[in-house]
Amino acid sequence: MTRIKISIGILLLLITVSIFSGQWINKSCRNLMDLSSHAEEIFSQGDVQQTLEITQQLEKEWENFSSKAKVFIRSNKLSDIDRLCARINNLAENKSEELTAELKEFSHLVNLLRNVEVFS
Amino acid sequence: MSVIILRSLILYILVIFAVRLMGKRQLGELQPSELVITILVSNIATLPLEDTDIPLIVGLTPILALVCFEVVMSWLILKMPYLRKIISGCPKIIISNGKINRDVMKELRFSVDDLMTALRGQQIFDLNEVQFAIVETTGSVSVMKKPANDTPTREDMNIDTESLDPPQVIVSDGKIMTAALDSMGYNEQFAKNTAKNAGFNMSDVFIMTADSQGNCFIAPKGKSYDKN
Repeated sequence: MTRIKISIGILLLLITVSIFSGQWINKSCRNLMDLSSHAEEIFSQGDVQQTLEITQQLEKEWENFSSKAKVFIRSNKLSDIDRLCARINNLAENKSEELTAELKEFSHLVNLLRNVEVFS
Repeated sequence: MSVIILRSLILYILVIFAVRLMGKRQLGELQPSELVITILVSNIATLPLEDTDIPLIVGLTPILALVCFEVVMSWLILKMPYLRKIISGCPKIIISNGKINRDVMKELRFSVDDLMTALRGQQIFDLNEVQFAIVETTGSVSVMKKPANDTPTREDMNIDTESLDPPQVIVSDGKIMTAALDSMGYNEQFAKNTAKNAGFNMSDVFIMTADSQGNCFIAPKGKSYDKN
């Protein structure tokens, strides 16, 4: 009976952790996607200074998320977005036209990550 | 490198814990579901060791989940016997009343060679000696010999016997095993006196066993075995 209790305890723990981690990933990814859309919108309006502030915030938020997400997400999945995030900030500083495309790709990859980790 | 060593240590501990959680079963006696789980666990455990991109928790979660499912399933099987038939199958009689059931052998894809190998494993070399044989859900074959070919027992030969528990180790490498002594109704003084009477100090005794009749066997350290 002890084994059954331990097993049920472990299963409940795994289920609880998976539910909460899923919710956290979902919330964090939505937040990142919102920030990316917002940066895209502001950049299209021509406000470069505010775009730079938002992309800096985006990079900060991503670093915060990825440092925690490394515990349960494969690091190669995160490193692709990591590289893109660093590039976005650089493009925003240089007021490059490529920024919109990169922000779209960032949103797409974050959405992909969310779908794989939360719904699979 | 140090990460791999640390991961190996954690996985080693986890796999041992997982196997202990599954319970005491000999490898040859694994039920089909247990065999599948054992193979899966050993395969999954290697993934986070080989690939450091995989977070350790991603490697640990399926191992723990699979083993827990197996434990819960075995408990459910215990509570609901019809589940046993679905999960583990049921034993099949291949020899009944000395006659081989070929239909069952076909169903089990059990060749004559397989049958003979299984019988030889039970020290039976003549099919004519077999009264009844059954293939268990673990794949092993249990055999009952015909009464005429079976080994006579003491009861058959009307020989008086007394039921005795096997001897227990009461001193191991000079250390007195108090739990074993207690279970047999002896105390530490008994072990010390026995060793002294045999001419040994307690520290010289490698193994001392005793049975419920008080018969002792002493194997001293660094010397040949000596009976008392």
